[in-house]
Amino acid sequence: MVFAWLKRWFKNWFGRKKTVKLGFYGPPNAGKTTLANKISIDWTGAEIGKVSEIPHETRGVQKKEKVIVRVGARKIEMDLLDMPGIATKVDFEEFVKDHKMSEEEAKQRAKEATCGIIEAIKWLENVDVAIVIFDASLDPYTQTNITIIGNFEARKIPVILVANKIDLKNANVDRIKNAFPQHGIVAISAKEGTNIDKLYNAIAKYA
Amino acid sequence: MALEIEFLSSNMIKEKKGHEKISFILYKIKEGKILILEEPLTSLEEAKLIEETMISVDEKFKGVEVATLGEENRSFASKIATALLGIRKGITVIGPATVIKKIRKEKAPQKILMSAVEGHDDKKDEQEK
Repeated sequence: MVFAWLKRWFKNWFGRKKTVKLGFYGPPNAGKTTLANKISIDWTGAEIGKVSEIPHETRGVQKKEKVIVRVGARKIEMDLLDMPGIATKVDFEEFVKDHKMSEEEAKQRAKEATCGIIEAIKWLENVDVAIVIFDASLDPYTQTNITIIGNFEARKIPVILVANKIDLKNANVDRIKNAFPQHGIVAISAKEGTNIDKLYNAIAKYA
Repeated sequence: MALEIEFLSSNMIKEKKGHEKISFILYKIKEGKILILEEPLTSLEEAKLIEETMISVDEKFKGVEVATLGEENRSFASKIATALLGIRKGITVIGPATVIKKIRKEKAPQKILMSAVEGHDDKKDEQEK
């Protein structure tokens, strides 16, 4: 018992990183920036980035550094890293057709989106804890989601799966649990702030 | 317009290492082919494939659709076989996004459902593998 206590004490003081790099990953429009904003506003009073219904609004890694989060008696210092949504295709014509952008604007957005995806992939090995966010109203069992989670598993980086948008009528958290039974799920609504405290507790386990 | 599907055997894939493997796959996809890989890509290779794909995206090449069966939730025996013999069970299906509209995976039983972009497969919208 004494040994276990000593081990825990050593881990607490020497094993933990001073600042935890917390990466927000997932497909476009899952609510990564909404969640990063919620955490950032809770603890710093400022947003991290702009939210939009148009895919690929975040086209570069958005950072909020040295955010102090209190979980119970603990203070955790984090760098919040809001990643561009990872996708296997980017079609500028979809921006023109579905979001009424000019062709020039759409091409520029597509170009920036591809650079953002590359940047997000390069960051995969550099985060300390990864939050993978799903839109709970959509099919979670996609190759992109499997690839993202598989990369963290291969690199032994702790992953927290977040089922976002549980405020939507057709949200289905069980579908995510069935798709990735090897991981625990935190079901939240970043928009309404539901269950964010549960997410902080999950982060604290790995931070 | 006909769909061209090319089967890449495990031996052919094994000859290519690292970056060469991804470049080889991407080269074939940019020719408009759908590839079936006898040996599945790992998650790390898939991330590399997405990265290389994004470098190649332009007005004509919009990206890829990809699905792998058999890599996640592998059994202990499968992991041992991979470690000792280098054998990895499963397949990866990859194709250009201009040809494949969507690939959807199902878990139990394992399935890959592909739908072709209009004009590429008039007879059958969805193929089941």
